Amino acid sequence: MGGLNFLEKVDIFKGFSQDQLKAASKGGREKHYLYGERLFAEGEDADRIWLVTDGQVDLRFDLPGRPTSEQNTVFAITAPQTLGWSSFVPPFKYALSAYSATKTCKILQIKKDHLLECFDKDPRMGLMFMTNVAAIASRHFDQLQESTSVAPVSKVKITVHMSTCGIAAGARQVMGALVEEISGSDRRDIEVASSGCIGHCKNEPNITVEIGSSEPVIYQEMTPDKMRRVFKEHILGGEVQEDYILGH
Amino acid sequence: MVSLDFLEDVDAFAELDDDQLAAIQDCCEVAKFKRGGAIFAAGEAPEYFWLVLEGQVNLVWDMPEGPALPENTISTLSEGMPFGWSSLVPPHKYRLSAYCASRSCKTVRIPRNRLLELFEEDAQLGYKVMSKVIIVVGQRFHQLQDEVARRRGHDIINRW
Repeated sequence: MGGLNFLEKVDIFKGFSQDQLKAASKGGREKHYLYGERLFAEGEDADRIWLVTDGQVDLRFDLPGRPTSEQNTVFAITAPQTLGWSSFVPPFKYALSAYSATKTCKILQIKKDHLLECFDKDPRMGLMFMTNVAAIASRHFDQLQESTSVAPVSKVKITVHMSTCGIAAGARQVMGALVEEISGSDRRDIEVASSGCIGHCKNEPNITVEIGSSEPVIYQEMTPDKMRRVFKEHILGGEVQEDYILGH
Repeated sequence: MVSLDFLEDVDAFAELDDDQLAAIQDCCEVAKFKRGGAIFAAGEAPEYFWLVLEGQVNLVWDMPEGPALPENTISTLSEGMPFGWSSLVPPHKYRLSAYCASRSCKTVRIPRNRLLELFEEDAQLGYKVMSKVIIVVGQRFHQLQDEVARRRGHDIINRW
């Protein structure tokens, strides 16, 4: 973990020589986190970068007075990617909270002050680093923009039936999970719609999935977890989730 | 010609010495626009890194199917403020559109290839400038986050 072979693959160190990698990682500290553990909280002082060497870290916005939720994940960061570029941008506070999203995740922390010392000695290293930080931000910029783009030609339509009975049964939470999944995917051809009750109040919340010219599939008794599974397996993977189909 | 006094007041160049500022000055070109004139469009391959010399510039998140609307403005820039940072980093694509927002505006445009060549020749110059540019990137990112939150909120509320 954290060896030079790994470090040269890390996005923020792209272009670094072996000597530069050694210098940068000299101040590094390895840490392990269990699922759900918080690495840092929104608003805390940002004074280091965090290299994910194994597992996944979710960057989330936390709502005051509520426990953290996967539904509020904005970005999922996996090895060999980096988080914590707020430490180089005023006001030097983390803009989101970070949580371990896998059974364990391994991190290499490198303090900003150590890196700045390296860059003072070797400005070319600093130039590459700052350019890489801007490139990472650019990628996140793109993801953010795409997350709200409306598909010009929708190949997939997902309707969440949000009647009073549906909302009482949890349709809002299902819609929330769906929006998060779409935001985190690269798909821009998905249209989300809401409509009223379809007469199966006992089996709410219901959703209808229409892909191209295929027959619509209606799912019943949906939950955020089921919604995420339908999104991954049916929408992205093409496999209808028979267990959840209405009337199954 | 763009003055050294102007350049040294630009945040992105704040830590450069006179020789470095003069090297930047040699690359600068002035371009004028009238109100509403497009300086560049999102998605274009960027040729320039930009500064506002006089007047105001709006950075706008255009919707693909619609006209440039004031409510899609992410940031309004005034004298000395840089824009077009994505010209300096892969994948070299403008993320937002820029329009002249005052009766007229003057801009300084610096060909990105010449600026990147300067960075290559003088890594200290490059490091100093990019250290400031990522501050601009951070500001734009937070402005975009706010706008995304606004749009998501509207979309979801409207659908519900």
